[in-house]
Amino acid sequence: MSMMNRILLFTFIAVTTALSSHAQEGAAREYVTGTFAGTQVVNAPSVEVVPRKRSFGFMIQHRFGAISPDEQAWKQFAGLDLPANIRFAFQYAPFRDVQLEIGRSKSGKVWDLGLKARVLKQSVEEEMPLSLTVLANAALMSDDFPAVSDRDFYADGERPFNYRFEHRFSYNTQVIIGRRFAPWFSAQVAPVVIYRNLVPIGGSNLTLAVTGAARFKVSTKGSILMEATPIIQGGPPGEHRTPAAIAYELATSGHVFQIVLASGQEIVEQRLYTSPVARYEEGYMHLGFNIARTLFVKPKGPKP
Amino acid sequence: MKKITIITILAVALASCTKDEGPLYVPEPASAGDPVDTAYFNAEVLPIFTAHCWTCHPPMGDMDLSAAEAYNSLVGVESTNHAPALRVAPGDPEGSVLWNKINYTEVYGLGMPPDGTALSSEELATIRDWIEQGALNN
Repeated sequence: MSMMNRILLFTFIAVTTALSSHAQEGAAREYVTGTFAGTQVVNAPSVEVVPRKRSFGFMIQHRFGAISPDEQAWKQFAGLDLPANIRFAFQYAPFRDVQLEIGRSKSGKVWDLGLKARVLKQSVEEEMPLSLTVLANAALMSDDFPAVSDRDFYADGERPFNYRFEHRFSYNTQVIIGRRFAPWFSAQVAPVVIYRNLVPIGGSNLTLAVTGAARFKVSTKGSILMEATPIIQGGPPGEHRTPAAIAYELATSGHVFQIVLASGQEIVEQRLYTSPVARYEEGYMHLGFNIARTLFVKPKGPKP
Repeated sequence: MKKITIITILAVALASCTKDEGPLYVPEPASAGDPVDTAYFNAEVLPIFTAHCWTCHPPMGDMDLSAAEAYNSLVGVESTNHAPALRVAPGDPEGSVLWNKINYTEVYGLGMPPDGTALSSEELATIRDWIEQGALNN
């Protein structure tokens, strides 16, 4: 059984455990809510899921071109004039604490399908001090492959290279552990396992990383979000920078709006953590925004 | 029902796993007496710029990569942001801003195209050959 298959099997077990544990829950326990305002921190998924069965969410994530620290910053209007990336996502909760998500992003014309389940929930009385959410996501690059010549080979230099349908897929699995430490401060950490079926010469199919993220509430509706994802293995060759993002968030019940500064233009994590990182130490960053809307559906009442 | 849905999704994901690395472009081995391979700007290089670059570098910009002006905008011209480095230094791919940009080396800022849709290995090889052979307007 390959590494990827073991990861997917683990995710399956975790999700089914979560589903069955809900069925066995006894007396109502009061849980901590609002560890994060939305299902995303900035680029990374948060420990939150669409909060109620049969409810759904809609999300728009947008990243402009790079802000460069020279006269181009004004000329390109902080990157707004440059080619941008955008992702639309639709989320649906078929069961309590389980969320399905389908997304489409411009870069690579990528479709992504994800399953996210909240396995553990932090409780007010501290019987459970943490929240734990598992996520599994598969992305399909639907853009045209580049032309292949008869002098293109696989890495062994012997087998003639041809793009295959499987080469379009990449996978992302995470275990997200989060806690709301105080009404003004929440944090989470998430081991990330990414697998890409096809990588460029010198690349690694397997990418391992750890995302750390925090939310500082600064007003009734406003928060500052920070996240960073050190790559342990399989990042872009020669890259030493850590993908990172910060955002200012305005959140109300059902709405989340974020102004974002990110180190990359990619949004789907399989591409974000395996792409070169902007030289943020020199002032290169990508401006962007996230908009999320959750639409609550009234639970079904008891049948008469 | 819910378990069937999850199993179906995971089964599809498992079935499509593979582990590949490529493509690796291997130039045709040259035999003794063969003339030096020639890369042609107008027939081979220019169509690459038209396909990948022209949309964001149209005639009204400061680096015009349209068919009429691409050569004059690139070869021997100092980079706007990275002077004195040349956009294309004839005979020196590694010293050319263009070559670094399209290979995402980040030596000269962001790689191109900026959305990560890299040129194919054959296109890269064509541009490298053209620069190495003097970046002629042929």
